[in-house]
Amino acid sequence: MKFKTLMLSATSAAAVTLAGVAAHAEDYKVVILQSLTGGAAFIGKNVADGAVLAAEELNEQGFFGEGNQMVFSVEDDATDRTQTLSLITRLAADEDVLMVMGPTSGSVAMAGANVANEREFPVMTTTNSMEVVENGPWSFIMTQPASITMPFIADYTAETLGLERCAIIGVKDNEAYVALQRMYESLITEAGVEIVSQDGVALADSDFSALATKIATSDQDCVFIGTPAAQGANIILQLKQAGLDPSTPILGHNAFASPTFIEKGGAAVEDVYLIGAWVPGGDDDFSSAFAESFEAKMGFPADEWNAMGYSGMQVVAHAVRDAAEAGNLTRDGVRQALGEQKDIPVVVGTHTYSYDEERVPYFGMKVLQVKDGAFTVAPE
Amino acid sequence: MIQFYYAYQPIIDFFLLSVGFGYSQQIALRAGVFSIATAGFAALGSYCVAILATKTGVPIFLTVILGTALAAAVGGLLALPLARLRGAFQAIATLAFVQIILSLLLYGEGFTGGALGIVGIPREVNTWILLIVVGLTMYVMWNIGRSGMGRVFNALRQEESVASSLGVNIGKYHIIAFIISGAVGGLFGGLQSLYTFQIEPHNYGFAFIVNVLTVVILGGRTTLLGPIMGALIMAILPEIARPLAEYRQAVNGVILILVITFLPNGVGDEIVFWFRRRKQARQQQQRASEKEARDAVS
Amino acid sequence: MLSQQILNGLVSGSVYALFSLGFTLIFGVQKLLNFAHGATFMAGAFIAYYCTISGLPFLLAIGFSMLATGLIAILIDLIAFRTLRNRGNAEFPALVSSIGVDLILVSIAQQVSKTQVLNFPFGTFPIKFYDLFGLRISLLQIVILAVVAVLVAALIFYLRKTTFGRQVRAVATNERAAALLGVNAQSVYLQTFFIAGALAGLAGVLIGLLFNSIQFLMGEPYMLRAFVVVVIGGLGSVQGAIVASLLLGVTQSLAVAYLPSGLTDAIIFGLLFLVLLVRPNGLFGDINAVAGGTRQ
Repeated sequence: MKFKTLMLSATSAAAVTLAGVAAHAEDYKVVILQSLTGGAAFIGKNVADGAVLAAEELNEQGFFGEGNQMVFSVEDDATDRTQTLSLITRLAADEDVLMVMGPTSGSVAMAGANVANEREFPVMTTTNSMEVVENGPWSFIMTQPASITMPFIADYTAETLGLERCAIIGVKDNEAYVALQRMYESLITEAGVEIVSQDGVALADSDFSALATKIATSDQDCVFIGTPAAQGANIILQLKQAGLDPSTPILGHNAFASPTFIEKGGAAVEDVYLIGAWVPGGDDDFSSAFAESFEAKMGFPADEWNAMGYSGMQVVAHAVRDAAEAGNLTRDGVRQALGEQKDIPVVVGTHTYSYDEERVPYFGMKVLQVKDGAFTVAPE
Repeated sequence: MIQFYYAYQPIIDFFLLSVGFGYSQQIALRAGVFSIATAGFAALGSYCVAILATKTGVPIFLTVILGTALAAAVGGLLALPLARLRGAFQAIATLAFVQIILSLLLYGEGFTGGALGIVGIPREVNTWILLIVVGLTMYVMWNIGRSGMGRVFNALRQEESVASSLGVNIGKYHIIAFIISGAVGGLFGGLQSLYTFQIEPHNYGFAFIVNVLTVVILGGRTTLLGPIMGALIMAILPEIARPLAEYRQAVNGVILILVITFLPNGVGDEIVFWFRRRKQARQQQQRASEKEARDAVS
Repeated sequence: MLSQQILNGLVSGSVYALFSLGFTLIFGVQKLLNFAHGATFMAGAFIAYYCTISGLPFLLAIGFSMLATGLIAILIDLIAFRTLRNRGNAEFPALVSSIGVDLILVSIAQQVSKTQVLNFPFGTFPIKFYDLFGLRISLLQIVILAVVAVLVAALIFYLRKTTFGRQVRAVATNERAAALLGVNAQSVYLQTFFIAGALAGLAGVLIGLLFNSIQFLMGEPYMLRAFVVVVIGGLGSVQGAIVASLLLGVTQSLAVAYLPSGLTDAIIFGLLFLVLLVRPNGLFGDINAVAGGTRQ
């Protein structure tokens, strides 16, 4: 009897010691691969900045447990598919890297997804394209697909504002924007709104004189502009200069939710409606604290993409920690944990982030309006 | 070795594709045609293969052949109007051709996917296939170079009036050169789409034109080694010049200016010419010493 | 709406003219395609922008920018064209070389602007609208039309009536003969480059102002438009370039207004191709000249 108790206590003492030895500082290696340069830099660089701040804070707060930390590095996908393919293949070959937060968007993100599923390497692309999700179990998206975001602005158009005849201006050479536009069009058509005209511009265009004249002299009771912020502001400026009826409501989607929009548009973009996941300055404690610390660190206020990067990293961090706690700190473990994340506190949308069973992210959107040169929540 | 391959496979594969496009660009320049149409041929081949592969049940092998044939046919057609133009106007015309193809690809949404392009293309091409096809292309190019056709191309490039006074039908040879340029461009365009999972019009725009042109200028416009050297340097450059990554375009520009001014034949051609000169010099020396030997005896 | 769109087209077209005149001048005199012309145009907008935001009065900023772009153009000649030109048979190498310069300039601009789209601060140019003959026309549009008209007239006068102009035309016709007659060809080249550069720079500023957008890639579409103008208008023909530019501007506006938007580019380049097929020397070019000039 005594011998047994002795053996038991000796074994358990040994086990505890071993466990203590095993539980030394863990480094969780995650690579933030975003478009720091190239066409998607205005998204990628900002997402990276937000994600870095989040990772630093989480490390400081000891989020990953005693002595553990997330070791992150930032790489550039350069909005270039060749570069991305090489980089991601190399990262996949590096056994220590648990997952990649990125690549950013479009075909670059798809390339990343393809490699991820080929090499069994988890990636969380910034884009919202369902094709990434459908490509395989190892590729995730960070932002919500058009089917989740556009209803917010489509309902506002058809129901809250009760508009009936819309002119649509969209971007024709970027598939992400095209997808958003198509979704909006089908939603408002379902709600009985008539689409009076449809025009596509190229991302690099700035001469909207003919388009502006055409719309200003047409009969519609609303104008929807599905372009990036700077270009959208420019279109609105030229629309007003061409004599568009000042009482015509102008709407956009979440690409407008950026300080650039107000900067470039000035007085012309007053009263424009849009959707945004981020209310500048924050609209609850967590988001206000983020807004403050981001501005303190970077020297400029956070925009939608900074906030998304920050939020995305929260989700990544939770996934990594969950995998570690489940004793399954492998790529597969991280992949599983990521897909199961629910109700993670974030600074965007309705402030909780969840993946559903199909690995589609949900965190909601707010309808905003430009008032006195700032984004405010739009009247219900 | 396998690790190296895994990590660097994409670079090797893109290098091989680059070499292929380089030959397409080179053959046109070799025949004295001021063409930058390869981007258009590549787009045609690429989209043809992609659409057939994703929307129909045509066997992959056949799609590539069809893509190549389409681009070759368009190349031949393109040569007809081009034959009446000279120099800079040919360049403008081929540039216009590429622009037209691009706008049509963007516009034909239902068919070509518009801005989104074609996605979900099965990856049927790997390094071995690329190596074999590049090898075959090189074999064809080598044979052309050594044949009568090759000599005519050289004549057309260097002094057209001489060729014409010798009774050469310039138009016919331009058409042949364009058909080959189109075929090679379309072939590798098709292979590219079977490699990168997804294609969009933007892939075949100005950046493509500049890259292919740089490969041939840097490597050489006349020899077999040309596009290989050019593609090799362009493939390694982003890796070596990592710190300069943001200035990649500028580096590309500096290379173009330096090479065309100081090494106008290109690195690859210069190497080949050097070897040829050495061989010639040695042959001359041998003949001279043989002559001496004979003179000594007589 | 039709007349309003035609007005839009004329305004855009007149800026195309400003841009293309320099391009066709270089092409006509040197038989060389300067692919860096678009970058010069962009540089004009950039320089004027940075001058304006650092406090310089707008008119001075424009003047300084025109001077600077003229000098940049001269630099382009020295770096990209001169050595090749002296070697002879320079058409292809010069094109390649100018593409190189274009890449460098665009890359620098990209870094300087951090890939952002810039715009002249609100209030740089007064925003006023007038109602003339039932058309809504802004002060800026009037000024642009006036400025371009004056400059074009000045350029034509320069080429027709002054010694320099005669020298330019002499060199354009036959460089060797002109040299024999005592014309300093190098000086002619420098001067044409300077004029071309200054006009392109001004065009850049006007476009930046008219369309509220200055970004490092803004030269590219204008470069392509210039090709169309040169082909339709005819090699080295000033009147041709002006007519073709206005025609192009109006065609573009009408295409956007009345046709499905995706087709505009295809139409314009299709038109280019057609002209190359049917009348390669353009509407105003010498019917007997070989398109592209002779290789020297």
